[in-house]
Formats: sequence, C-alpha cells, structure tokens
Amino acid sequence: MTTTFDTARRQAVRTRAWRARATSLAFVLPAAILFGVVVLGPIVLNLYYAFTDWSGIGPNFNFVGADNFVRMFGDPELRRDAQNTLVFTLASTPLQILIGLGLALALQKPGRLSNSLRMVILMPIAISGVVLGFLGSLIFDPRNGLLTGLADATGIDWLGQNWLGDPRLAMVAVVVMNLWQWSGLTMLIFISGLVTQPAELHEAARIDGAGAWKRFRHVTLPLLAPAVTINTVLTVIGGLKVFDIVYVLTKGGPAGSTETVVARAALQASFGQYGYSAASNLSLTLVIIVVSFALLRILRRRELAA
Amino acid sequence: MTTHHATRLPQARMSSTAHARSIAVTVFRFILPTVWAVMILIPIAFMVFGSLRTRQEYALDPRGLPSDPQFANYATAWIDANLATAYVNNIVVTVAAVLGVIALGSLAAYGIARSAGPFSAAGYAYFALGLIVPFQLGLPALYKMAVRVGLVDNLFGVVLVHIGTQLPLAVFLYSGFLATIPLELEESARVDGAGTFRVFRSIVFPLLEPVHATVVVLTSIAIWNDLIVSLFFLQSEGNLTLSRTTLSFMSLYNSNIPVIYASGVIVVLPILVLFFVMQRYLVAGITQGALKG
Repeated sequence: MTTTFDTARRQAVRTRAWRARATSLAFVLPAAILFGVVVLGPIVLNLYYAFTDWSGIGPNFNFVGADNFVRMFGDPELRRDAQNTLVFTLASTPLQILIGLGLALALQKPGRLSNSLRMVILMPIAISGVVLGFLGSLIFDPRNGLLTGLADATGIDWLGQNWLGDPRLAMVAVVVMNLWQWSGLTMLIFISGLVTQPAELHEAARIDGAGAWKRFRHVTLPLLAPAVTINTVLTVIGGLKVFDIVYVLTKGGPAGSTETVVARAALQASFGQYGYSAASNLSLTLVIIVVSFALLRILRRRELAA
Repeated sequence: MTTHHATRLPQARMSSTAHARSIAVTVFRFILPTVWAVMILIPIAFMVFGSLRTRQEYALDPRGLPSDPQFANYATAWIDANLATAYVNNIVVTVAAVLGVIALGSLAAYGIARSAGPFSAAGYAYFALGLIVPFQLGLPALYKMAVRVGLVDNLFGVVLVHIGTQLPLAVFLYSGFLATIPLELEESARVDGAGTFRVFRSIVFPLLEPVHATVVVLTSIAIWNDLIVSLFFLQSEGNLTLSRTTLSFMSLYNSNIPVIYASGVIVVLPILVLFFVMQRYLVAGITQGALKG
C-alpha cells in the first residue's frame, strides 16, 4: 500500500519537475534560437569556410587544409592590423579606466551639480558613429578644426597638426575620440561600484585615523574590484573589436595606419577572399575569447585576494 | 579667513594645510569633471552653431558663431538627404527590435533564473558568450544565409539581426535583477492557480520595470546608431537607415559643412532626448544588472 502510494507520489513529483523544466526550456528557446542563428551560427560557419578557398561568390570551392592560416602569418597587412588593434586596446584601456575612475570618485555623491555633470559626461554614448565622424573632423581638421583654431589663438603650434591625415598621429586621434565617447560609461560602472560600498567600513577606517589616500587604497579600491574587473574586460573586448570609430574617422587610413582587424574583416568581405577572411575572423574571435576568459580569471582571483 | 588665521596663530599652520587640502579636494571634485564635461560639450556646441550658419560664413571663419541663425540648413538636409524615409525606417527598425529584445530577453532570463542547477548555468553561459564574441566577425557568413532565405535588403531581416545581437546584454541585465526578486510573490500567485506564463506576465514582467528602462536605453542607442548591420544588409534607397543615408550624404555634400552638421543634429536629437528622459534609470539598471550578475 504505502509503496504504491510512494511511487505514485514520486512519479507526480518527477512529472512536475519535468514539466517545470519543459516550461523553462520553452521560455528560453525563442531567444536561444535567434541568438544562435544570428550570432553563434555564422561564427561557427567561419570555422568551416576558414579551411576552404571559397571566393564568396558561386557554388564552387575546395578544401585547402590549413593554407589560409599559414598565409595569415606571412600577411604583412594582417600583421599591421593586428598591431594596430593591439596598440589601440593597450592605449585605450588604462586611460579609460583612469579617467572613468577619477570622474566616478569626483562625482560619486549625488547632488544637482554632480548629477548634471554625470549626465553630460555620459551623453556621448548616445551619439552615432557617423556623427562622431563629423565631430572628429570638426575637432581635428588641419584647416578648419578646433585644434588648429586653438593653436592659432595660443601659439602652441603642435596642436594644429594634420591629426587624421598623418600616419603617425591618426591613431592618437582615434584613441582620443574613443575616450571622449566611452569614458562616461566606465565612470557609470565605477559609480555603481562606489554607491554599493557600505559606509561603515569607511567610517571605521576614518576613526582608526586613516587619511584620505589610505582609505582609498585600503578600503575603496579593494571593494571596487568587481567594477574594475567589469570595466577592464569591457574595455579590452571593445578595443579588440573596434570598428565604427575607425571606419568613420579614417576608414583605416592613412596608409592603413589605423586599420583594425574587424575593420578589415568588414571591408575585405567584398574582396572575393571569403575563405581567407573567415580564417582571420575566426582567429580574432578565438583571441578575444581566450583574452576575455584569462582576464576574468586573473581579475577575479585578485578580487578574492584583495 | 585671513584675519581669522592671523588672530589664532597656534592653529594657523594646521588650518592652512587643511585649507590647502580642501582646495585640492575642490579641484578634484568639481574642476576635473567640469573640465571633462566642457570637453564633451564643446564639439557638440560647435556642430550645433555650425548647423545654423551660412556656407559663406563658414568659409570665412569655420569656428565662428552664427550671426543670423539659418534654419534653412535643416530643411535642406531633411529634403536633399531624403532623411524622411531614413527616419521612418530607423524608427520602425528600432521600435520593433527593442520590443523583440524586451519580450524574448525577459522571457529567456526568467526561464534561466527560475530553473535550477546545470540547465540554468548552461543557459547563462550560452548567452554570456554573446557578450564576448564579436558578432561583426560573423556578418559575412550571416549575409550568405540571409541571401538564401531572401532576407537581404529587407527591414524585417535587419530587425531579426538586431534582436539576435542585442539579446545577450538584455538577458544578462534581466538575470542580474531577477536574482534579487524574492520568490514568495510568485509562489503565492501559483498557489492561487496561475500558470507559469501567467505568473511571468502579470507579476514578474511588471517588476522588471527598471531593467526594461535600461534595456530600452542601451538597445535603442545601439540600434538607432547602427552602421555595420545596415552596411551589410541594406541596399536600396528606400530601405536605408539613418547612418547609411547620412554617410552617403556626407560624401555628396562635403562642400557644404553647415548642412552636414544640420543632418548630424537631426540624427542625434531623438536618441539624445530618449537618453535624457531615461538616464536616471541607467544608473539603477546597471548597478543591479552588472555588479550583481
């Protein structure tokens, strides 16, 4: 008697659990499929095409083994683009973190002035790449730009250079415009990290006689570790896949001095070397995945240590 | 202040260091962010000023202020760049895609958050991949797929692409917030006999309001300003979105800078208005989504 009752009950519990799981799956499925088809599927397809010599047009192609990957290593343009991407990322990340952190510390307390400043500083994230291109030439144009005007007015001649047209300077201009646009978001994430810090810890440190710097170094900063992690990962990933800002400011020029890997991928897809560009796209995707996970690991470990 | 220091000599040194420190704090607190904010505003202000000047004025002095505001530049930009069509396309694509992201994203996050164990972790990891992987690198392959199913040069196709690329961020933000909602609310409704979808629609979905606001702002900005998806998928004049139209307008009108600036202002205005109306939710949404997630 009891055993049949037990099995029946167990059965009922199991059916209910199964039904709950099916419901969850039904909730997740539409989003999972669309995301899979639009984002993951094509990236996995790159994995297939990367081993072919498909031009991108027509039905015919051959498997060429690892040829595309071998060719990548001897491709001076790809090396240059990889270098540019790296320079952009390594220059942007620390600067954006420092500026964002400085602004967040200054504006962490809400108030009318600080709220307005936050809003203005965050505003550029809403500005489109194309309009950013207009603003770029408005600032950097060697004849009509604001910097040239500033150079004329102050006599500091080096400000009035051909920022976007000089292969040695164009990357500086791209990094500056990127900071102009994104430092506000970094600031916002740091502010989120600051407002969630318990006030008691700061108070206790103050009572113990810790000065402002000590309190920052030993209380604020360790508690800010998760925000540092998120900001670093976001900035590095954003840097490795930068495209819009390069496309609208310089189109990768002059002489390829600002062309990044994603910009090349977008421009090269039409050049009839589909298999080859799939190989480089796939490589960059893998680099980004590896770098992101490595960064997350390292930073999370430091969070725990701190 | 000086007399105060002078009359109480023994304390003068201490209060002058305190004074110096308070000056340093003021510089840091107010001057630093104000300088940055001014650097943000200057180029935008010059774009707006420039858009109100005549071509001749601009040629004489590219950095001057408008003497007699010319709103005609806006009319020229609107008509000559055919911005009306692009505007309608942009609004349709942005609204449709944002609604899609909200519906599918919140549903998926709820499914993930309320199922236990490995299924939940796997679902979360699956969407987290989308935050890392650059979707741009898959676009050539996606384009080939779209050709096959006839979704190239088709606004519906572009909407689907935007929903797919924006879903991971939405799922991430919704999941972070759902983790903070107590289960009791849902359970009492369930005792009353409501099914899972009813519970989601009438209890959970309204509770997600702060995240809806964040998702609306962030995805609207991304989609309204999109360039790369429209570069790949849209071809015919009647289907182009704002970034494409203004880009080609820019190369056509590069001798008439004030009109180009006017088109820039027209493009940014609606999304900036949305940003200003909704920005206070952004802080709340990002705090709950990003740091707890």
